[in-house]
Formats: sequence, C-alpha cells, structure tokens
Amino acid sequence: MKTKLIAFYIIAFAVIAVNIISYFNFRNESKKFAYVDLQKVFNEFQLKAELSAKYQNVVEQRQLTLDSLALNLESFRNVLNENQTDIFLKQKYNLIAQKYQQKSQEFENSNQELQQKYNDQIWAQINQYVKEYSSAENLMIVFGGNGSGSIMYVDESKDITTNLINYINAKYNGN
Amino acid sequence: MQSIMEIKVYLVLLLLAFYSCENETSSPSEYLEACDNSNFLIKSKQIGDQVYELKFLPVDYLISREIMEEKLSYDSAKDILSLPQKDVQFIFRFSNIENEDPEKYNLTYGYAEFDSRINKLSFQMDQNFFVLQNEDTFHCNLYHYERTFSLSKSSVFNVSIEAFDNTREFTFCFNDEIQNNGLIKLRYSASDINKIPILKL
Repeated sequence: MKTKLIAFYIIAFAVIAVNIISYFNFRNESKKFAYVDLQKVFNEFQLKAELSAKYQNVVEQRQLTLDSLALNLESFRNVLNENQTDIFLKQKYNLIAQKYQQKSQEFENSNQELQQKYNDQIWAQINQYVKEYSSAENLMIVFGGNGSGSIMYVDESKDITTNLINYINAKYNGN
Repeated sequence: MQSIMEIKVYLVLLLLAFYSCENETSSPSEYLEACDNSNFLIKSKQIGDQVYELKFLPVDYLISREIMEEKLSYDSAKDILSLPQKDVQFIFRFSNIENEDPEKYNLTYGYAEFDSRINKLSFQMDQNFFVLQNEDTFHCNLYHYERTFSLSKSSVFNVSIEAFDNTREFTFCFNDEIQNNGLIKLRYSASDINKIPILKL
C-alpha cells in the first residue's frame, strides 16, 4: 500500500513538472515572434523629428531664394511688356528665366538627395536599435508592417511598437 | 525615548547616503587605477557596421597621467588645477566591424571621394562634434585628427569642447557625415559622473 502511494506521488510530481516545463517552453516560444508598425516607429523616432525640422529649414531657405528670383523675373517681364522691341532687355529676361529654371531644378534635386540622406540615417539607427532590442528580448523574428498589406492582422500581445519606440528613443539619446 | 533613537538612526542613514554620493578623493596613481580599471569614462555605440568610442578626459585624469609619467611636478599640477577650465577634453574614435581602414571604407566615387573625406576628417570636423547639457550646446573649440595612413584600423580624434560643467550629466554628440549614420549621442549620466574620483594633491 505504502509503495503504491509513493509511486502515485512520484507520477503526480512528474506530471506537474512536465506541465510546468511545457508551460514555460510555450511562453518562451510565443515570445520569439513580434510585430512592429514600421511607419509609427519611423515617425516617432526622435532623430526623424530633428532631421525633419532641419530639412524643412533648408527647403524654406531654398524657396526664399527661388521666390526672390521669381520676383526679379516678374518685374523684368513687366518692363519687357512695356518695351517689347528692346532686344537687350529680352536677352536679359531670357537669361534670368533660364537661371530661375536651373535653380529650381537644382534645388528640387538637392532636396530629394537630402531627404534620401536623412532617411538613410534614420533607418541605419532604427535597424541597429531593433537588432539590439530583439537580442535583449530574445526575439527570433520581428515582423515589420508598413500598412501595405503584407501583414493583415496581428494579435495585440505581439505588437511591440510602443515598447520599441521607447527603447530606440532612449538608445538614441545615449542611454 | 524611542523617537530619539529613531531620529538618531535616520540621521546615521542620512549621513551614510550623503557620503556615498560624494566622489572619492584619491592620489594620482589611485586616480588612474580607478579610471583605467573600470569603464565609466568610456562610452561606445554601434550603428550598422560602424563602432563609435568616446573617452572623457577630466583635467584630474590628464594631470594624474602627467604626474605619473613625471612630466609635471605636484606644484605645477596644483597651479593648473587652480586655474579656471577653458575646455573639456575627449578622445573619440570610430572604426568598422570589418576591420578595414575607415578612411577608405565604403568609398563609392573613388579617389575624389577619398580626397574629400581626408579633407573633411582633417580640417572640417569641428562642426560635427558638440556637447549637449540641458538646453545648452557647447561647441568644439579645437580638434586634432590623427592621420595614420592606413596603419590604424580606427580614426582617432582629440576633441576639445568649450568649457561646461562636467560635474553634471551631459551628452557628447557626433554627427557622422562620413558613413552617413546621423547623429550619434553618447551620454554620461549622473551615476557615471559620480564614479569619477577627485584628485588629491
């Protein structure tokens, strides 16, 4: 009778132990996958806000230069309308119009290049911090959704966007 | 009676807390040992394949080193310490995990880009270093780029930032225009600053 009781206890203990181990294994397995809203991470990254302000400043300064050239062009057009036979004035007007076109094109290209440069800087840092976060949290795969439909549904418990935003902003600030 | 005992206990605890926050005073050799054996003066960060490393050099640290190397007498050291500080020194370096020459790493436009990179590294980096403390920005007064002609696998700069209160937390910033990784911030927290000993001469 006593041996049966001991055997029963051993079996019961083994069953409980197996259950506990499987529970923790399941918890660890389920923690290995996570999802982030890339657009939100990108927009709420502090470096993005700083670079956006810098970019806007550059664009505004360039627009001021263009506006000044446009004003000059407009005043020349008015003078030309009054003296349509003046060849010298017409040549000067064409020169200013050409300069305006050139500057406009040049600024447009430079703005695009600058935006690309800043985006590259932002993504370089985001990628690094996501890597560090995943390593710290023992994540195997982080899915990035950008609203294009590649990921249609994710359970809220798998969404680490807010935690990740806090993490990358803290890391960016040198913490 | 019990309340007096309680007050005494609180006072002792308060004193303990107060003294534990104070930086320890030490001789030049102890100072260097304390700083070099732990890494509270060093901060590092990796972005992609670039590794950035910064060492903060307090005046006490520089003086201790000079004294230990017998380049400075105690009297001269005391004179220097009594002078107002004009700038704050750092050693900044960056390298890459590929262990390649940073001057030639990721060049896409050949020699022209290499030439402009060397020019930038040698003469135009002062705009790329600065320190943030609260809302204030402290600019780079002077820097020196150690040109090693590919012998070293890291680019090293001696950076001198205009004087700021380096007994409070601050953030050293480097704008990486060389590898286009953006602003790299390396922060010295209050706890890091508190670990720095005070030199006793």
